Amino acid sequence: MFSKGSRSIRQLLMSLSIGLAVVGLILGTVLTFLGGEWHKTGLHFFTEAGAGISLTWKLDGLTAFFLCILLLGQSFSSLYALGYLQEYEEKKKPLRSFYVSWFLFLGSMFGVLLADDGFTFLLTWEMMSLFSFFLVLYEHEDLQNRKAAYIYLIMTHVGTVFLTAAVLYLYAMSGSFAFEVWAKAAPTLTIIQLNLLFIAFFIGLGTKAGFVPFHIWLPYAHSAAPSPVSSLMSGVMVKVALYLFIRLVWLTLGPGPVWWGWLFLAIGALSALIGILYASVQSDIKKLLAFSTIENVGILGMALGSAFLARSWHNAWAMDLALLAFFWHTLQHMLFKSMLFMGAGNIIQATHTRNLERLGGLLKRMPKTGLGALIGIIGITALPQLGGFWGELLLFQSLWVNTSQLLNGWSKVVLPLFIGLLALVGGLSIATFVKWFGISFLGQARSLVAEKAKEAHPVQVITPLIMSGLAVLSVLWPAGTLALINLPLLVMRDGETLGIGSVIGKPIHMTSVYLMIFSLLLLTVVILSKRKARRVTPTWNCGSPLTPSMQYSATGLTKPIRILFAKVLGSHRQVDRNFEGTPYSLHSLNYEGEIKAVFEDIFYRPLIRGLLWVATQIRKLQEGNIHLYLGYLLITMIVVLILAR
Amino acid sequence: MVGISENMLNLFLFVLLTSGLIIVYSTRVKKALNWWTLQTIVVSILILVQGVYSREWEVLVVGVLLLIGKAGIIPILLRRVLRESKTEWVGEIYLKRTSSLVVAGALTLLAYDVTKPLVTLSQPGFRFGLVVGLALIFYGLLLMMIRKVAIVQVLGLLLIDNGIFIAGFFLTKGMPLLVEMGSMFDILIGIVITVILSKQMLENYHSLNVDHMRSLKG
Repeated sequence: MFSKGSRSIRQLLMSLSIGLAVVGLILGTVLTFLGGEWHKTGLHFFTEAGAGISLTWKLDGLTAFFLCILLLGQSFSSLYALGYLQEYEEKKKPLRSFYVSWFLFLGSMFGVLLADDGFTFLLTWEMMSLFSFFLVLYEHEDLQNRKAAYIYLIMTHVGTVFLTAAVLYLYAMSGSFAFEVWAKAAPTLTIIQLNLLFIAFFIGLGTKAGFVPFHIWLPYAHSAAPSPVSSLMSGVMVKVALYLFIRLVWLTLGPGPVWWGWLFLAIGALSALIGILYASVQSDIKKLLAFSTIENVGILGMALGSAFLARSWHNAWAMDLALLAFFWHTLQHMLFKSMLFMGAGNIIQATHTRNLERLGGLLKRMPKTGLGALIGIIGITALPQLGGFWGELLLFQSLWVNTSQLLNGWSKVVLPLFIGLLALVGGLSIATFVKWFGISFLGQARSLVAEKAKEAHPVQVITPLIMSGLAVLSVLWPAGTLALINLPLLVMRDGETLGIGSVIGKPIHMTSVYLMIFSLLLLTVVILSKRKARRVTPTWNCGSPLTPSMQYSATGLTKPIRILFAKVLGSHRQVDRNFEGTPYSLHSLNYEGEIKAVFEDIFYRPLIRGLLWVATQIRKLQEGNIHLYLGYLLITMIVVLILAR
Repeated sequence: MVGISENMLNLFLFVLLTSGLIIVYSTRVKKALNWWTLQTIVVSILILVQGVYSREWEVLVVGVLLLIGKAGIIPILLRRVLRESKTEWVGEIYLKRTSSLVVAGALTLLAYDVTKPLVTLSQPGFRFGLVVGLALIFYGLLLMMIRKVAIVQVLGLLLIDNGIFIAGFFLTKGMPLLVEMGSMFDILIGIVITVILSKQMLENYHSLNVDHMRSLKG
């Protein structure tokens, strides 16, 4: 077995992580209730970094909301890790590098959220990228994971290049790194400068958030990381990138032209659609969840886009709805996606496989994990009652209000299309998660490992259940959730504060409605189940024995989607049938299906080819020939002398 | 530069330029080295004469150091390497001796052309001095570019150094002693390092052909 020392270290460190998060949450609650102007104006503090530089930090309502998300994510992920890490201890895999990266990753996320100037932001942002990279790389024995981490590192640095450019440009324009100075300088910039800055921020932050087409790292990295890290990256880190969109674009660059909103909306819709389409055809349980993260980031992007549009059209009602949808969905997605990643983690630890085709029938063997996962699915597919539904409903409303208040024009034609797209995404997400849950938890076990699966460590089971409790509470007590969401709204809607109540009616009454519906449902179920005696009989199967291979396979279940969207997915299949004499008797069948990463083909491969070509051309200068180098010297000197004459 | 007559100065400059051209033209390393030694001796005589005329001890010291250090030690070091490596020919690539002479002539014209704005220097001889210095720098670079034996590259570097020295001398009417000594020490150290590197090259490739260094490319 494993040594006692490492066990107590794990318990100590993870409890420390949870404890700090809980203390943070309590402090935050107290600070919020103390009230005062800090929600709007912000609490400033700074750290001396030496050499005349100080890192400045600010805590305002917007930060407070995302801090709450981060603290919740931290406490639940740490609680889950408490159980999850035990497996590594049993395998005698050193955990030191995990702990160091874990705490620094969390710390750097706090830094990014609190940063109040460009320098601090870049510093903490890079730390966040670096330590999440180490966490992705933790299971580095697997070649796939190394590759995933490598792609992640490259993509995140490409993003940082754009961010650094934007930050330095703003510094050159305003002579300061402080966000507030930037906000004051922004109106003096020309529209071209603003647009360039916006594009740089969009690419830089969009890469981290996982917008299509910058998403290619996300499915690899989020599925390669250990499950507590996946839940943290998917639940919190992508939200940090979205937070920066608000901090740097909404609050700093100002309203901006209308096309910014359209870009958010279009890229968001694209991400949502591409994300969920790819998710639906995955058969890797974690990769499917990662693609679903892209979908949800897309939905959040659409909400931001709607808010940006409403802001430039001076439609306060639609803007409030969109922002509410954004923050609501941010919170809910954090809860549900973390729960699902934890469920996936439990399955992986129990069966040591991530392939859906090898799972099945787990609900009987891991009922509590199944319950947590089911609640997560109800939330994430936006089925009514849980939070995901209300978020998307608000988004639908905001898009509709935006449309209805417009004068006639092409915007009024295009905008409703996004409503349709969002509906399509919702439908596809249900198909996706029916597959995820149905194939892994229902039916019969498709392999020996699934048959022998055992319920995970109690902590790993309880954590998702606590989170589902919280998710239910957030809906049953909407006033509390909305009070939390009101914090960032205070910062973002400069000036007058419309009570949230005026936007969506009196939320408090929803509780009683919910309770009534729920008790009615319960009553119906109880009455119906009491009426007849239950009979347990085997499933009728035309007289032949029932075998696992008769069930739907994960690939088979989403075949219609693959065929319908073959152009988008680049899917192709090859079926080899071997007949035994007559065409009625099949001897063997070989199926090969493939999903192409279309975006890698149409976007990245030409880009990489172009870059390599340029590099080869430049390499010709660098021949390794000493005479050539000396020739450069001579020519340079002659040119300089002639020019300076 | 009160003392030296215009004629004498022109003679010196003529010798310097011609020796530079002969170095470019020569096909044997030893001959080129001898001509470079002669050139350096002429440079130090120029300095010494100037020192005697102007009665500046500093300048005299520089001249003597130049004579000992550059015209004495460096040729001895290089000759030893030549002997050990049994190198005889300069190894022409890109340009043969005649065409390299033509290019060198063109570079001389260029040197005249680019110093045109400096005609207002107090004495016309000074301007020609500057031109010769610049031309020697060009010759040095050209030599390094079109020859493939490492020792000739060193010679090219030394030629550049002479050119810089002369250009500096005529521009500033005698640089401070410290600067002169610094630059001389610099070039001495440079030569010592190059000699060591050449020996390494000899050990590894059994020749001083710099084309072998292509294999070092990453």
